[in-house]
Amino acid sequence: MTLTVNGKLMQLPAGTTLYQLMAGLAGVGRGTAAAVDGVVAPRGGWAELELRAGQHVEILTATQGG
Amino acid sequence: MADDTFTIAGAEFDSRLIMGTGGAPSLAIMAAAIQASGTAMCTVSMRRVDTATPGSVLDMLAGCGVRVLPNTAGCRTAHEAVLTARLARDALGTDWIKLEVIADDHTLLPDPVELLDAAELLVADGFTVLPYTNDDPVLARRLQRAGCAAVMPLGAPIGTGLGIRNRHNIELIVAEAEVPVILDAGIGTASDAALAMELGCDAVLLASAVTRAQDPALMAAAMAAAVTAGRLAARAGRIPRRHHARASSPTHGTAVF
Repeated sequence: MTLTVNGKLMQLPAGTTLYQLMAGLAGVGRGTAAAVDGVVAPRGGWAELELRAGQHVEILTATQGG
Repeated sequence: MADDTFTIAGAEFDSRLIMGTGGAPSLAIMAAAIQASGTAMCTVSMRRVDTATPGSVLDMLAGCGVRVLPNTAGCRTAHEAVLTARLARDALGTDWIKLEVIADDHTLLPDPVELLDAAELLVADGFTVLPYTNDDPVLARRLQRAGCAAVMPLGAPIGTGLGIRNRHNIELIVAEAEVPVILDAGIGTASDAALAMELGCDAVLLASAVTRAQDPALMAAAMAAAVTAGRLAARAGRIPRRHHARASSPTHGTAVF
């Protein structure tokens, strides 16, 4: 299935959870967060959240700023 | 000045200098500046992981022993700012947020309508909201009434180093504030930070003045000294300005030659 992750198209196996995506891209420790289709996906629910084709995922982390 | 701490939403700080972490050439230089500043709280921005190194800035700040204050820099609407604040809360485990809602890239000035809207939404959602605001006493009042934990008026637009362009407005904001007033943005050099404190601000937040200085750690030390000096002067009570001279030496007993 194809999703948009941080503005780029990405192919993922069907049934991929947000936790699996986070573990591969950003790490699942403190400091990262994700929104799916414009809504915050709380980290406590990542393991149960199965992604679907066409979704837009934004994965953010803290960086120098402000 | 351990006897002169200040408090935001029940949290006590022994430094009245808050540091932004943007603009430093490297994390090592940023860390040295933070140590030299004596600050107890630093801001961070939330960005896509593919344009940032995950965790590194947080590791650096943890090593410095400072509190992390996420911001909503880059947001243009209340909707974007609220979503970014919620992501920061989930990522960092803090409900404190430096709220920035910027109108355009040219001025980087806050959009007052979106800012107030975002502040109301975030307060209702349980956030401790520290809004970066225009130097407008009426907007500062509205933000305070909305439940913000501090108000953070600009001295001048972000990154300009123009100092405090409207000191009268800063004094008006200070005069009626019941929450801490933190001068945020526009600081160019140490005297600007001292002036902010002399005008009655509770603290100063700055980034570029230190991170883009030729010697960031040295400028950080200068800012720390300036904030302390300005605060002491504000507490001491300055003499009134006079049109004409007033002798400081005794006028009686002068010799006649």
